[in-house]
Amino acid sequence: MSVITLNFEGYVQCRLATDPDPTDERRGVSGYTFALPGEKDLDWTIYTQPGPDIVARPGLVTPPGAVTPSGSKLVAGSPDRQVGVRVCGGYCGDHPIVNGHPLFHATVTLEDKPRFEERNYVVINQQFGVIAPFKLRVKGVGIELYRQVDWYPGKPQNFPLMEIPQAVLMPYTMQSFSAGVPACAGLLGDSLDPSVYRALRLKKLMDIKKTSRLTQDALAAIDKRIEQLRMDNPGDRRTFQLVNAANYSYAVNGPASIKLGDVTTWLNGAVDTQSQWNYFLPDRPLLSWPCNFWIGNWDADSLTCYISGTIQYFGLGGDFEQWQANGGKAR
Amino acid sequence: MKGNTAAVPPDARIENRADLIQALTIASQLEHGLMLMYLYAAFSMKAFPQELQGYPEPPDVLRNKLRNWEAQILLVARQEMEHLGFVCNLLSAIGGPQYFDRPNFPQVPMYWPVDLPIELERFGVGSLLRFLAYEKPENLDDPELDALRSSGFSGKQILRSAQPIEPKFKSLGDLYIQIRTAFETFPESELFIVPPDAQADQDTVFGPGSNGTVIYNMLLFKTYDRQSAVNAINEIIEQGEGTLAPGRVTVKDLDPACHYMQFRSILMQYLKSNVSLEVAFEGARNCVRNPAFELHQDTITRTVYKGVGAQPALSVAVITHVWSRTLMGVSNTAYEALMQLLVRLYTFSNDSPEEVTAIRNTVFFPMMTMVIRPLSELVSLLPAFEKNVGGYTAGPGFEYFRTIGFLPHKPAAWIAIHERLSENAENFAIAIAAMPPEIRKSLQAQGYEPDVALPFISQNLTRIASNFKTYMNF
Repeated sequence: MSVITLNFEGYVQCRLATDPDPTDERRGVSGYTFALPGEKDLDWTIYTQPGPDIVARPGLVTPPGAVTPSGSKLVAGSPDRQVGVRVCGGYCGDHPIVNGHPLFHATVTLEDKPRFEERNYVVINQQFGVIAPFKLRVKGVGIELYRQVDWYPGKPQNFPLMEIPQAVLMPYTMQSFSAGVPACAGLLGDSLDPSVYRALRLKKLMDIKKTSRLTQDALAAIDKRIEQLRMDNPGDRRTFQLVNAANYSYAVNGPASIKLGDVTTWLNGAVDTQSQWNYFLPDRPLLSWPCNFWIGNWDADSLTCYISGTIQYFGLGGDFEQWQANGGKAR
Repeated sequence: MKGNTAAVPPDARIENRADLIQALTIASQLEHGLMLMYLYAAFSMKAFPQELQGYPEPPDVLRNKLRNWEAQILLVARQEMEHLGFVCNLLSAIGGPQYFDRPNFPQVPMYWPVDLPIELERFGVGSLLRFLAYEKPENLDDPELDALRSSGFSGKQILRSAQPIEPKFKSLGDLYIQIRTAFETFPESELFIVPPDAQADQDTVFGPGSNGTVIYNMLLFKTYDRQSAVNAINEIIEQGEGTLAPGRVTVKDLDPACHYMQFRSILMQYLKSNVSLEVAFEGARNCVRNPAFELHQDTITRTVYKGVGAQPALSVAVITHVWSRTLMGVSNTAYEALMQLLVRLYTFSNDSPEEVTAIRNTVFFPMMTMVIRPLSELVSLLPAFEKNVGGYTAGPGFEYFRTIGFLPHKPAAWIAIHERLSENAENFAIAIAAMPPEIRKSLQAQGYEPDVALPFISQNLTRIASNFKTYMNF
């Protein structure tokens, strides 16, 4: 049986309110994250791919020397913190996933508007909560792999998260928190220093303010960002979160499917999408797929952070074995 | 125990432990009342573009300004909560009871020795001027603001009435200075009679590892000897008034982050928008003063406002709109449950560390940020009176219907608190199921999303009650 191990990484955006604001606060008031004049409301959703939902702010420029956790060098002066999580390596059976492999640079997407569900310790008594829903789709060339977390095995797929006991959710919370993570610091450029990184951003915004004709909205927006960037000290969340990371370890245990060419196959049952409760009807055993990742390098100015991790797939079925034997081509 | 009266200034009234407990009790009521007044103003502020049409500046620019001012006011309110925590610790240290009781709003000047009126009033020039009167250092010369007082703004009358007549304490600062004098002069070994493990600190409020770290501009510590008590009182005075310096001072001498300067900054910016534009900018919803479910016995005023004409200061607006009343009931009950939990937390009787953690994990983030604030913001959007008389909206009354005291029997306390949390969740769920169509329409027109926001609050109320039961293991 072949095992696929995929390494993935990339920036995500999550425009969320921060405590002590309520988590559904739409503009940000007493926390340190804000929807700015001219921007749509905060929506608390984790976006893993580019698209119309992403709110890009001006003045985001990649600093010299920035390197991704997997070792890719970023181009200095290019747009910084571009959203998009992709496969950056791994193995498909014995074959390394490198440039040219159908899964190299495959998009890694968390679907169905996932959020850091925690609600200021209401959902779970843990700082970052659970990422829910967790529906992970990897889409390469001619191949798609999908699986979601079944939070409460035996219960309907749509069972309300708010009714699941905390003890049941606990395995899906952050497992540990790492401070001063080198992989996060690498994204900040040669200085490796969050204060220097923020100071560069501040200077860029000051330049924009000085040299551009801005609308009233844009001026108020840039002033708010400048005010926030000026609040810089090592103990401030705006600063230290740039080099910290939350570590997660998910056993992705729910409905799984593989799509080869145009043919989608459920690997462990089927989802009854007609029922109100959206039941999953398992009829074949399939072990959980381990997905270990960290989310860190949180930048409160752009409302983006970095995700880096690994997921393993097994039990993908005969069609997949055939696909692999065919050199990554569907029958 | 008696103080060394020779060392006590002749005008001080605090001469023994009982006096000091009494003064701290007054301080507790004042900090509590101030916090709620500030919260009321913050929650009355407009937040949706639909509410900010028709002004020369774009709605997003205006709501950005309002958001910034609201953040400043909420910061000050959080620090009042910290001050209340310090007062609790000081009371605990000298053998006093935890005191979260207070009279319902409004209270006329004279109720408290400080002789300033206490009432809930929406954000605006009048409320800001009153906040400034509370936070103003006695020795401050602020000619710019004095000129403003005499120029006919709506806060003028309130400020005038705030002038002391025959005060026992001339100001909030004076109250604390007299309390500090007592702590400085009473015999230390006799004064501190309760060990510090019966007090709250940053770890109690924010969890282990928080001690010594400023979080949300708050730094609560224990007061177990003369120096730590004086430090706590100085922190309260400095955060409020911005200086401990003797002699006359000007605004340049004050810490720009102090409460007085924060309110002053908001007022000056607001006046700029309010006055200089062609259309005067109104930053608050049309919330009544002192909204109440009913006229309480401990409310000194008997004047009930019914929405006709301008509302007199210090009058009570008994909310008559049926659905708004239901929501006010939920809001009040949530507030009472919150207070019940705080009394328990600060009393430090025989609760286990796990139980203290459970209270913390219920009261601070979940109740304060996910229940009290959203409910308060919601009721500030609801009509105050049937048939929308006067076009007024309600607001959180923060009402006490019964004494908020320590529930001495622990298992019974958990049951009683859980019952209140659960019943509140059920009542809210019933209320939103019965939301009148015209209310839904009105909320939507104002920019609020009732079909998203209300189920969200409902889920949180239910979950908080369920969590509490699980935490307390019954």
